[in-house]
Amino acid sequence: MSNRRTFLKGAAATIAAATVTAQAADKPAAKAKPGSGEGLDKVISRPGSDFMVDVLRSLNIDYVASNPASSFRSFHESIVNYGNNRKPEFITCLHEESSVAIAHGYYKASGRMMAMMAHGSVGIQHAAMAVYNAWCDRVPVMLIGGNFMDAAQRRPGVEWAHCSQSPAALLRDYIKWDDQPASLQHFAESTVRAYKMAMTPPMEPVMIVADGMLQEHAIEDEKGLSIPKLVLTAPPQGESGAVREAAKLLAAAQNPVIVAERVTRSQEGIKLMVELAEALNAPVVNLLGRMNFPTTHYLSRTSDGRGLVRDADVVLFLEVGDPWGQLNSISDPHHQYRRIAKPDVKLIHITLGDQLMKSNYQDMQRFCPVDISISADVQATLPSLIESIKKQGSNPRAGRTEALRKEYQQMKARIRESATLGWDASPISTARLHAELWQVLKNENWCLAESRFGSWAARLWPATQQHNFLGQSGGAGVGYIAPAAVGAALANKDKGIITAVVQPDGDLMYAPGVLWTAAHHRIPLLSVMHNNRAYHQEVMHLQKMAGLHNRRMDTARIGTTIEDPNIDYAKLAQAQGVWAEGPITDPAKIGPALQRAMAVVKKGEPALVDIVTQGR
Amino acid sequence: MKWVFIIALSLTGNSFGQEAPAGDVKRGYAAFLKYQCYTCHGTVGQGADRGAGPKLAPNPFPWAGFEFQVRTPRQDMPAYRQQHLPDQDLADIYAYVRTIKAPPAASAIPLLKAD
Repeated sequence: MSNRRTFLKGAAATIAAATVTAQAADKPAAKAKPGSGEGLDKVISRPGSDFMVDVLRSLNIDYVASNPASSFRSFHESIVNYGNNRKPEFITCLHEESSVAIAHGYYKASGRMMAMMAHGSVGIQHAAMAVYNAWCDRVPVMLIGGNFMDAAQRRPGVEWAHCSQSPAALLRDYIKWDDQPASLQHFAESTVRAYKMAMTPPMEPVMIVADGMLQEHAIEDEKGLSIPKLVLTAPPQGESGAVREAAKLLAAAQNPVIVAERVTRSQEGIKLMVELAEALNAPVVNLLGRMNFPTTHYLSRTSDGRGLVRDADVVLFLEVGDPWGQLNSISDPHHQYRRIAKPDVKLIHITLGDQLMKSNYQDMQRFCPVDISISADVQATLPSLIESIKKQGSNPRAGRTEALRKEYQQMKARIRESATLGWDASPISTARLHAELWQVLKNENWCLAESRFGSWAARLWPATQQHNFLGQSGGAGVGYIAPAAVGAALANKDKGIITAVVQPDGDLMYAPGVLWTAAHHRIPLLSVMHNNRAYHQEVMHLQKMAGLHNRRMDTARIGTTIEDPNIDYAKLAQAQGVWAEGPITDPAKIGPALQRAMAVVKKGEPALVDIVTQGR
Repeated sequence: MKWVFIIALSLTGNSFGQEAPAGDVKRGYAAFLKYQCYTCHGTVGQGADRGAGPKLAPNPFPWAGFEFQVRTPRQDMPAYRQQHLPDQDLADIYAYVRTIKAPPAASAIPLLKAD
């Protein structure tokens, strides 16, 4: 067994001997003895990587997404042969960014952590952006990096380029914890620890480096190995005194508003959110980092959010990444500041944001002073908050239910009317696209794998279940949506949940090979292209800059569009084994195409419909 | 913010009653695309998702307000100054926007009927 201890011992001996025989490094480390089991006829029937598979199994990790690589070849081989490629199953990916985002989407659909593997150097470099998205989105992912720590064992050439002293160093600004175990026992303990840490709110990605020699060498003392028992940590609840103060403030408010972002982990969380909102008769502005609140409830008032915050006397922020941005605005491109909320509005924030903040990457957003700050997991704190509010006695807004119901109905009517604009236009309006997609989903148990605050889906569709809307990437790193949707569909496929995604063209082209992964693994996903043939936001940014600089704006499409030639997404999908139709420019043809696609998805295969759309 | 906009209009001597200059609808549609008004407002002036730009039609601003907003916009819209968007092209764009018809009501569209 080559563990870190023996490696270091050997290294020390080498240093001591260096002055005596400097040329010794040119010679082979050892000569194999015939018949000794070493050398060309050597067989390792029980490699360390088998034990690593046992460790993953002990954690109930069902899938490992990965682009294959030599630094974890033994681990890979153990998964497919020792583990019979079941629990965990190897999900073949064509890019490490896809591997991480698949795990990201999988967690959001299932609440379960998935693993990915990558070369300790180049693979991690490919994976980095997707890890950052997961970090910003508070999503746990088990990252496993392959690496050969013992330089004397590395093959010359590429293997050196693909190893590093500390593979996690590149990610350390945006992962919760990492380790590079030096023995199999160390691997077991650190992997269980990593899993436990990742799944403790605030949840985040973690990384374990699986040393190549530890993987490939035989297990020396199996009886001496043990896998620690996993007991997940109960999420932290809010301090009782602070919760009571928050309840008093809320119960006495005339116009309280609840702003929620990454709150619910389960249907129970949604039930609690409804209970909270009803206890206060307070409208909810859902920033949709998670499902959070049913869109069908009369207190679901996201589309009226700005006005509600403006008029509020108390705002309850629930795990909101940027509370300052809810109360203030800065115009673009002139950077003019404007206060939205009242100057004396009382603010309460329940968040774990202060528990895990690092310095370099600025995803912490602008500092927002509040009146009551509770460092806690929201879902775990809601029962005590609700109870405390109910103890406060009468609610000054109790008699407003009918008025609030009416305001909700008016909001919904306004949304439907605004969806009519450009109804028959070509390119196809995004409202029409979503209305057509809803027709094929409305009788299903459905999941929209990426769902944005303010999108037509969020505004138009009746959504009540935790798995309906899975939110966004977190870090807004482009290239998340396609692989995250595949991951969500992987999680949903055995649950009878139909997974759909409105797939932007620019996002898909970062790593379109994920369509092949969906086809290869028979992952049923309905992808509907939002093909506006541009990085549309960047077109608008160019226009803003040209206006600011008093220059022509008709050049804004240079460098921002994806046209000339137009990409044929149906062919791109078909080439990878995915059923596809399009491009569709006639809105009347969307419905029938989506029905054909849905029939494919219901058979357990992915399908893609390319729709040429308006910019937004 | 609307009252700020109206005060600004009155200070410039414009009024909502000012008549629009003559414009060509076909050329206006071409100019609407050329100057990329559609990127934020959609090709039929319907506005765009997630706050990209408000709807322009049907029932656009009166000419004075329309011109004022294009030349000296409030909020996030970039300014289209005369040297980069000639007066006649703007008049043509307005002519196009004015011709955009109202869509059917949501109640007349089966896909948009309330559940």
